[in-house]
Amino acid sequence: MTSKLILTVDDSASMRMLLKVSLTAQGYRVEGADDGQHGLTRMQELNPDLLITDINMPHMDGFELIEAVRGLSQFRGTPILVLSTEFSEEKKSRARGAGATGWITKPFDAEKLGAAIRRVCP
Amino acid sequence: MSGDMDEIQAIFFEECVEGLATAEAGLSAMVAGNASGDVIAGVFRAVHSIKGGAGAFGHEALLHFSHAFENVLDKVRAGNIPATIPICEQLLGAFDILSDHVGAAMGKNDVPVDGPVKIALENLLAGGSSDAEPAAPVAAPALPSAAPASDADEFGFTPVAIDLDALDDLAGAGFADEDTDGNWKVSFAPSRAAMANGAEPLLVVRELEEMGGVVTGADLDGLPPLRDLDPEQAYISWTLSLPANVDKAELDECFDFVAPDSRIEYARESACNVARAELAATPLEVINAATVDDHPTGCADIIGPASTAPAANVDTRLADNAAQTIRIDVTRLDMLLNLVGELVIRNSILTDRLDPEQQERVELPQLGRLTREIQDNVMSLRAQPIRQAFSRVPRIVRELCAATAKQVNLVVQGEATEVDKSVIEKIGEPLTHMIRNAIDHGLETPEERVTAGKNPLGTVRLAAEQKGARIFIQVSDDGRGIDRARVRQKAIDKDIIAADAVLSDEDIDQLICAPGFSTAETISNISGRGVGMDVVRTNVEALGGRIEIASNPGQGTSFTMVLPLTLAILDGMIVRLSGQRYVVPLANVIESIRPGPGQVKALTPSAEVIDLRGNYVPVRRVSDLFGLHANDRRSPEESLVIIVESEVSGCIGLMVDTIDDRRELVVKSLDQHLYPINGLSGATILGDGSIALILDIDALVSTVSAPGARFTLKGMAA
Repeated sequence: MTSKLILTVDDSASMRMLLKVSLTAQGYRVEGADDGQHGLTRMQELNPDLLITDINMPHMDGFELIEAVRGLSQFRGTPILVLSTEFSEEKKSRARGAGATGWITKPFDAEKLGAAIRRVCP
Repeated sequence: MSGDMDEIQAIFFEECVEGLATAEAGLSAMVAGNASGDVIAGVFRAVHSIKGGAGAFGHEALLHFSHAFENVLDKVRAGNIPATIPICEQLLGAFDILSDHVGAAMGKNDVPVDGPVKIALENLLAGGSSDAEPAAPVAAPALPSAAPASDADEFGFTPVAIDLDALDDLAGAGFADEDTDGNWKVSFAPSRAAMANGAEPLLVVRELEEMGGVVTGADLDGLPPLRDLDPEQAYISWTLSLPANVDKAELDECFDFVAPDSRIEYARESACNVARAELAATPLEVINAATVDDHPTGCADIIGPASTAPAANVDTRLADNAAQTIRIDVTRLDMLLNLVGELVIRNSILTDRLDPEQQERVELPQLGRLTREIQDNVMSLRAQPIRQAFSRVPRIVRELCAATAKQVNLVVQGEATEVDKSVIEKIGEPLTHMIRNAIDHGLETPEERVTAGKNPLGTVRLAAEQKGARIFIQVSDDGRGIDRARVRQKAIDKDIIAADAVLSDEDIDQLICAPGFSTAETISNISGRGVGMDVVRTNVEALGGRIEIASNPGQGTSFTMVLPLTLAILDGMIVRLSGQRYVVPLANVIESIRPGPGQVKALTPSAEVIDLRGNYVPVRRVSDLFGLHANDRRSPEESLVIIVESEVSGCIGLMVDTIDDRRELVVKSLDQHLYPINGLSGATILGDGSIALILDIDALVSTVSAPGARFTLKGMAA
């Protein structure tokens, strides 16, 4: 069985690397993109099992990315987790409205991140 | 492994530095009145990213402060806090503390005292009350407290929309953690839409089972006839029993991503009766639904060292894949650079030894081009935008403005100019000193400026530019200019010059850089820290550069650091003087002339001019300037005159014996014992392995304007 492919979208290279290190250690394959636009392109190229995206990014933010991804029929059921330092109710309900499956607050703990992923992506 | 984490953290620090630069540029624009949405969003994002990484790498103080700062910026972004100039200035003050926090995280400085600024930020958040009390209770859940963290909720990552009173009631009724005896009874009824957005309620049930839960019942009543069943909707609800040792927080986490209108209830069996009673009075599903939706604590409660634990399992190969930046020891780069320099020299030796036909046959020109490309690339590895050195200037200016009550508009130009890494490292201190000088000594107070008919807002200009093989870094002001009478008096008082010395204005200006000369202590405690411009000069000369000073009374002063590129390719004209070869940078050459009889006229024995199509251009014999074999004096007709132009002070003719060649050369800086030699900018190794000195045309032209000037070649005399 091939391992699950996760696309992480975050404008911070250190955050992407941190995710890559944490998630690869848990057996996932990880690809990255540095903003929403790039993330949308990579989604279509890679067709990953899970998308983890930041909210605050240049060019296309996380909300726009989630909406755009959900607008593509092949990703209607793909789990999308938001990973952000934001935690306001307004932002979360906006993310849910856009089509996010769940919300994880940065800074993340690898173990709990893994648990959160398994909660949406068996 | 921690090596990986160190690498990632190093990248995080790089991002911090970039983020700080973005934030500072944005905040400065806001202070200047440009508070557009994009600018504010950029600042917010920069601070936000710093906060994100600070949490991940366990920099608590940085995390706290950036969090407080970000909250305010968020409100500014949303328009809830107006971006007035005083508020933007306050934000800029907070920025300074943030950058100190970043510095502290990087181990560059101590953790700053941020209490007052934090309180100011909280007051802004609370609506600008001048009260030093923490923000009003309504805002409290979203606010970080200024006190150190005692638990994770400290960060404001508490569930914000929970009906806290209702929860408290439940807890008070023995519904929560203190009663750990009974098993959990959990009932979970996903909403119809619970499978939207890629969610899968069944996974929650599985997770509960993994925690030791046993499904005790499934309610199939909601299940429609098969023909009406939508496979993408949820119809079934479950009840489970979980062991008593499961934490309530673990349960909360399980339901973290469940759709908001799902019904979730859990209670300890022994407390069930009480809880049921509560249920009757309280719409528990609403509370719990809110809990589900809002529960952000999933990852918030472990911060700091614990978050580095996962790296322990990481395969080392990962680092290769993940790395987008490679950090290389500078000494290794330098070695590469030297080797490439040698390659260029070997190449030109081959060019010298082979005739053109042979060169073509062995494809030497192609090799030459390739070598040149390698050289450019290696050079660019060391080159960095001077922005890094300039980045601390705005803050210095702000602090000085506050300390001196002067108003300064800082104009920065040429930030993208690329200079060698060593230059960036070494010009920081001279630059700071020059900026301090410009504001403290150069600029007048607003009142004085108004009296002098000037704009009360003074201008300090910081500019960088590369011209040929030199970098010009200029700090200029539009202030009062150098008070030459005073400088002269001071130099006499300090025994630097004799009381009756005859000095030109330029000579007096230069006295500022004389060792032991510092007007600072009598003027203020800002510039005067026991070091004066002589220290700046020493630093700049240590880089193989020089300082140029220009001043107009009442109009301003400019200090220019002229620095060499440590190593570069130079298009040069190789000339011969009394048997020795020198290099004239081709960029300065306008034309070369074999003077006709009488074309060079002697005005005095030491001052000659050349008649250049009706214009008279001063001519200098380079061999005289360097004191080379003055007895072996050729007539102008036997010599060549190279007309050179300097950016600084126009054209002169340099009289040389012959022109040997035109060649691309590798510039080598003169070694410690050879500088400062005014008039020389470096040396090169020619194709035959011999050394030629490179003339510094700017220095030659400006010094030569004083007739009779002659350089002393201190190091060369020996």
